[in-house]
Amino acid sequence: MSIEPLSTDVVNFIYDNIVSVEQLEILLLLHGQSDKEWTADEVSDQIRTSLASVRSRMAFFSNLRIFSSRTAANVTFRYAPSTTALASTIDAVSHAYKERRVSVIALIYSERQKSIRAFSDAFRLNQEKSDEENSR
Amino acid sequence: MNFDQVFAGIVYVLCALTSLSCAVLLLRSYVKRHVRLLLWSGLCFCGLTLNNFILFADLYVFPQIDLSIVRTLPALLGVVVLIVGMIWDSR
Repeated sequence: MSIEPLSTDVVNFIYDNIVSVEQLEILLLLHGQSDKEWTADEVSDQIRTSLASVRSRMAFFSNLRIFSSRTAANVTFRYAPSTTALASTIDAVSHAYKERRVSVIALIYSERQKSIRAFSDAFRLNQEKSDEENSR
Repeated sequence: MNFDQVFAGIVYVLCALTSLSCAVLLLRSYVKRHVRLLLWSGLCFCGLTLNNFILFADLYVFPQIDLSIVRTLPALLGVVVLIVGMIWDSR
């Protein structure tokens, strides 16, 4: 039985925005409880990672308009993607991470080589085949 | 026009077409993959393509006009875009 490659949207989203599993875990934590407002401390407790790192990741997603932020006593963040297309891509990323965890993690850490690989792939005339290979 | 000049002209045109192919492939791939290195490289090859076509025009179409500065500018701009883009991405 052949394994379906990750979708192009999922691959592009991870290539463009995700540099670590920690960052993806933060995104998916807020994605999973989209009606809750989270402080960086709460996320840090849940993910068990450094507060400074969580703050910077949450600000990053806020700048991408994936999280909305509100400043009261503390700064809180909520999952609120700005477009439905973005929301459905993140749904697909979440699904892929549940079903194909190893492939997604491998993709995240292959990111550093992506520019070089994309450059060489650009000269391959059969682009669909090279995209398929990259997403496996 | 002697054989050497004709041969040189063919080489210039082939260089221009090769640069154009590279630019098209890189920019096509950028549209699909959104990897910025492809954009900077594609734009650089656009400059090199123009440089090669103007070189041909300079030597064979308008030999009476000196286009050496005009033809160098697109290549220079292309390389500057590539360098600035790569530095920008590495920050």
